[in-house]
Amino acid sequence: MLTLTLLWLVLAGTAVCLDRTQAVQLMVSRPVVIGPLFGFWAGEPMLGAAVGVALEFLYAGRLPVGSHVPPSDTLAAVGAAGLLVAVPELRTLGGAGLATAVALPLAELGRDVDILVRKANGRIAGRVDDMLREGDLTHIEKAPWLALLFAAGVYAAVLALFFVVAGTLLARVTLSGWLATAFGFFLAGLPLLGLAESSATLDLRRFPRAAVLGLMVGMGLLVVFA
Amino acid sequence: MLLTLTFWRSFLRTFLVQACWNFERMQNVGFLYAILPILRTVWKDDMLEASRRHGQFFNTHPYFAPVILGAVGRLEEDLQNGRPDAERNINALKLGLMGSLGAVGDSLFWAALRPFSAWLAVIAAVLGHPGWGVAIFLIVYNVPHLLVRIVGAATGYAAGIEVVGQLKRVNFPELAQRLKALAIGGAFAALPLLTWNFAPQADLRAGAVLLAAILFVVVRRGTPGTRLAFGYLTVTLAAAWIWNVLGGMHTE
Repeated sequence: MLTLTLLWLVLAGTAVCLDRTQAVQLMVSRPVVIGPLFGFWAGEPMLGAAVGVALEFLYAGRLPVGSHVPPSDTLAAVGAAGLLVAVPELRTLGGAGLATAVALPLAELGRDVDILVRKANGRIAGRVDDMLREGDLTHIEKAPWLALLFAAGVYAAVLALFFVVAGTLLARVTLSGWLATAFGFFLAGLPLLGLAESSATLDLRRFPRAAVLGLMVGMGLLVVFA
Repeated sequence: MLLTLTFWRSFLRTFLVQACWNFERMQNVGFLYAILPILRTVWKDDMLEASRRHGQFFNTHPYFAPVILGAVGRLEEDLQNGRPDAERNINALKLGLMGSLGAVGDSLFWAALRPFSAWLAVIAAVLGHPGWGVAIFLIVYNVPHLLVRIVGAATGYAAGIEVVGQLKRVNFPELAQRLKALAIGGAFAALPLLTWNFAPQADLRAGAVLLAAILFVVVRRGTPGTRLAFGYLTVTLAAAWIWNVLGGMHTE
């Protein structure tokens, strides 16, 4: 893996991770955006899209409501799609499935990272509290930037470690035969699993008319395009 | 009159309202950071008391922070101009709006607009246009998002405390329900395409439809997605291995 590629991957990954909660929130942090974009970067947009679609569906029902911290589908998407960029050997359907399977734990790790960042923010907020009490407003405006810098540092460290370890290991793996087929089916079936999961979590079954209408539109699209 | 560069500078800072999100006071640092340019303009060197006022607990949906910022900015001006009830109104407005707008924003943006935009992108990607999928998602999601921010900030400032009545007139819960129905339509529109995508070969198609049906029946609310995925991976690997041992599969 080229050092420069790794550096760009970590920088791009960190930027989209910040978009998830801390800054701007244009939702470039969604897997359905990250997957195709990183796929274009790897020269395989459809494979990137397959990864993005799978992860988008899998975590669509996990919402950041109140103080609840959901798994980080962003970190998992950056990890999986980033591996397609970093390891050319993974640019097959089976390889993309393997990359997704390897990156999935990043979603849970990402939740822990988000909690860690929020706890660190608590310390910064405490310092702001002290400044307000002391009547010193000179450094207050630095607080959000300090929090951003810390979060960026943590995301960058996690991503760098992941790409170095997983990238190095997966570059040595030759996926063929039934394993490649199995990982291909895994990736292709993941959106179905995700749709079932988000349908249960978002309570999609409460709107049967919309579901039936949507199903008919989907069938129509299938007839026209497939 | 605050509708100047200072106001829009504050508005831009609301894009960082969650930068220092913490479990104790949530977006307090972000909101204080956003409103500081307004406080500096309104109160000049005498801004400590106002800063303390906005260092308290604050949490709302981030896209609705600008409307609160605008209204509070207007009330800070009123307070500086000697309106006696303005300070009480500032606290009441923040407390009253942040919770309700937080709930409305969660159901409108996170639970409805985001999945709706995502399903559109997924449909485009599955049909072979991943680039268009990205563009569609970013446009469909961000045009309403940015409009809510920009129009919200301007309306909040223009209306001050009256913004509560104006917000009530926009039936956000009804809008969220309609968008959610659209999101569901989008999700189910993606279902046949994903099933086809899973099994482009005719002999596997019945199996894919069966798999989708089983998943819809089996998967229950609240099961962690990662655990589900690894369960599914284990089943896939085991099935592929058994098929391979039985001699059914030799190539990718």
